[in-house]
Amino acid sequence: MPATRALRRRIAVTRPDVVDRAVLRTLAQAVGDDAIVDEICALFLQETGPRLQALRAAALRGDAEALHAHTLTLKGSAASVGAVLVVDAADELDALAGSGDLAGAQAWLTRLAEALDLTRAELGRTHA
Amino acid sequence: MRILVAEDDAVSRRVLEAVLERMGHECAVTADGDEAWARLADGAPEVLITDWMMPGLAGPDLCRKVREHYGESVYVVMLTALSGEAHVREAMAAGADDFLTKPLDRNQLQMRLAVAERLHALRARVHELEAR
Repeated sequence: MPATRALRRRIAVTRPDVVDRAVLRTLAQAVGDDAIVDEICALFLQETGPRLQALRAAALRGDAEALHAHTLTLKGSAASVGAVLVVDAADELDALAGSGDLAGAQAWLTRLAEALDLTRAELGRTHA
Repeated sequence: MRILVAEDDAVSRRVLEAVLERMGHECAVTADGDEAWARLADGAPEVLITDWMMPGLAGPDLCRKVREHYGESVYVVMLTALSGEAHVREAMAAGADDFLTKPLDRNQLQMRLAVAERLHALRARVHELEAR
């Protein structure tokens, strides 16, 4: 199914360093309905708040296993909508969780929060 | 085919559901392994696609229970963001038929489902011949 005007607009306005446009195109082809792409993007944005809270709580507790589990889930959902900046930041957090040394976790959580804000701006403005 | 999905992440779950329905499959989705196990009691699907890490019953545990109760009749695909041979081996040891990594690749999924469909048709044919 060809991309509709709304989807073309979404793909045109997203910053490629924040959201990979090719992933959105591929997703649209795979599900065959732009409304579902919108729904999936909205769902991702809706889920990011609680996910970030869970990551912060795990870092505060020094719980590397929980941090690993939450970063894996976040990476999976972020990759589904092409949120590459979020995937990169989550990758760094996951590496920390793997090492067991969470000393630098707060800095990476700040970067992840910024990445999520940028992604929300990129995906969210196309929902208006 | 009738496909049951067990995936705790709402985004990945919706993507899978939409892709499978677009492919023409009948898809039921569940939010964790326990819910999937309960749903299986309503009738075993041809395919189970299960996430690895889930609250409660995790993917490998769900897979082992399916093999114990339903034998080989359900084609099980383990879906995970984890990579590496050790994880593939662990999934296979739990009884999974195949393994897919996230993010979901529609073509890879389609290939796995083509194998599942062929196996299902072969089993149906064997049962038909045995019944004669």
